[in-house]
Amino acid sequence: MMTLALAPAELKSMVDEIWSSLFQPVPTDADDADMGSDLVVGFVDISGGWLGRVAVETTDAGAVAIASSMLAAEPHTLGDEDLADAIGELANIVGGSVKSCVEGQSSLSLPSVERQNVLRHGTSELMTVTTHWLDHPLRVRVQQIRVVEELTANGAHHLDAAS
Amino acid sequence: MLAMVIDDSRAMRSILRRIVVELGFDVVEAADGQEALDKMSAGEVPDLALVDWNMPVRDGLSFVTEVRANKEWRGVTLMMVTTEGEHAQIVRALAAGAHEYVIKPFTPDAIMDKLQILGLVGVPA
Repeated sequence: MMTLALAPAELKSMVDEIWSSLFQPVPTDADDADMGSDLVVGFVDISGGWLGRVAVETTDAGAVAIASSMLAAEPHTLGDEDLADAIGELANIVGGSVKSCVEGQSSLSLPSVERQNVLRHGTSELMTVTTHWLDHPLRVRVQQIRVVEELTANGAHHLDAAS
Repeated sequence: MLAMVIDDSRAMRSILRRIVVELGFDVVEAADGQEALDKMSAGEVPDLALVDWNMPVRDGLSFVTEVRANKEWRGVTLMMVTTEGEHAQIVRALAAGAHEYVIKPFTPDAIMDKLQILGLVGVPA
C-alpha cells in the first residue's frame, strides 16, 4: 500500500505557495471557517496506489473573489459557471501538489464542484488547513479512501470503501 | 508571434493569456487538445502552444504527440503547463516532443524564464 508523504504544515505551505503564485495576499491562519449554508466545494480524486480526495471549500462570496481574481473580471459579471471553473481549477492545482507527495504512480481526476459537503462514505479525514482569504473562509481538506477486501455472503470477494 | 493557450479551465486560460500578452504575443485559446488541433488544421498555427495535460476530449500528451507527427507543424514550440509534477510524467511529455515543462502553480516570471530559454522572448537588458 502506497502512502502519502505529507504533513499538515506542508499542506499549509502548499496553500501559501499556490496563493502567492495566483493571488495576493496569502491566506491568514484561522481556528475555524464557518461556511454556513453558502458552501462551494471544488475537489479532485487521486487514484492509484493511494486513494484520496482533495477538496477546496469556501463560501459563495469567497468563490466570487477567487474567480474575479483568476479571470480578472468584475464580480457582478460572474456566473455560476465561472465560479465552478475557478474553484475547480484551484482544486486541480492543490490536488496536483498533494499528488506529488504520493509515493509511486497515481493519477488525478478532472475537478468537480458542488455546493455541499463532498466527504465520501468510506473516507477518513487526514488533514485540514483552515484559513481566511480577504475575510472569506477557506478550507483545504485531504481525505483518504480506505479500500478493504470483504467477503460477501456468497463467498465472492469484492472491493468496497470503508473507513 | 502567436501563442495558443490550451486548457479546459477558462480561469487558467485567462491567467496565461494575460502573461503572454504582456510578453508581446497575440493569443488564441482552446478548451482541449482536439479543439486546438481543429484550430491548427483550420490555419491558426501558433508559434507557441501552452498545453495543459489533464483535459477532457483530448489530453495534452495526445495533443503533443499529434502535433509532433505532423511535419507542417514542426515549427510549433510546445510547453506543457500542468499539475502533473512527477519526474516520470515530465520525461513522458519531453519524450513525446514537448520543449519545456512548467508545473502549476507558476509565477509570471517562471513562464517568462522558460520562454527566454526557448528564445521566444528577449532577455531584459
